[in-house]
Amino acid sequence: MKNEINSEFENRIKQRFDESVTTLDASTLSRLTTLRNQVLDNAGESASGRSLWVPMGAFATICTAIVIYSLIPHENVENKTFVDEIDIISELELYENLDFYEWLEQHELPS
Amino acid sequence: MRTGYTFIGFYHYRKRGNILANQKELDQFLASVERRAYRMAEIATGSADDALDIVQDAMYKLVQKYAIKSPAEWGPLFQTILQSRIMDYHRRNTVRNKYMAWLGRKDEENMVDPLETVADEKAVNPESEVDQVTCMQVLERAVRDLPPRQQQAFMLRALEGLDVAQTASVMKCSQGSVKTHYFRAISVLRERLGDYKI
Repeated sequence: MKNEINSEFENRIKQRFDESVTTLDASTLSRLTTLRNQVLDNAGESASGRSLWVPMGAFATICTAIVIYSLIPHENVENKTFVDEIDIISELELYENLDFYEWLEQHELPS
Repeated sequence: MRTGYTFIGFYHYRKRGNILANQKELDQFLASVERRAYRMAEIATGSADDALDIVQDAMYKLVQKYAIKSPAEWGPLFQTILQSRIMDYHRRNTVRNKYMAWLGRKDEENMVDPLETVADEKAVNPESEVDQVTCMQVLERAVRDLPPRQQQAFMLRALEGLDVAQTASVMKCSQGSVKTHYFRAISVLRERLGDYKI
């Protein structure tokens, strides 16, 4: 790395910083070593984990939902024609006047 | 290779294999950067515990995500992650301070115990050591008081020794912005530290 720092002021600051790095206390160094070991140990274990299983599982669930939805029969209301609707209305009228038709059948005049 | 028959199993097997294969190199790399990383984080946050957390996060992210990269790439990647974590810390701190100010409470964590400020008369402090510690403390405080982007530019350029292009890459900004932030940081530090023998 090319160091472009030229001024005396900046060099002195860097020197101070470097001194503070080399004179870190034993407790801090020990904690840093422990952290590093923990990170390396955990990384090896978790890399065999589940990071790709989650999106793959979500994808499979969505696909399954789409297949199930497409297999369920859906009544297409929008395609009903005007004649179909008239038939339905006339059937309703028939059921509403059922008593009248029974009476008419019983008292039907001879032709 | 228990899950070797699936794509996912193969992916993880390969990733884990890479981490294990590079474990020794990773260990050496992290050992070589951890002290400087810790000091930079400590200067930025003013807290040893927060600095350790930041360094651990940065190490973990590097090992998890970039262990498969070539060792030559680890340095810039680690710096990028570390700086990103430090910036996250600043953001969280800003939000917390605003929240505290809104509630009208003082930040109890940052309150100083008066007993801690009393000088220990029995403590043995050689004069030169005092000078050095005081000087470093003044410098750290001055760097900590810089705006986050100026602080970042200063630490990467002056302390870590990166050039303008590398600093711009880590800070994800233009080289012109790096020069501006750095110039302002140095100007402020010169002004504040003028009376001290740095």
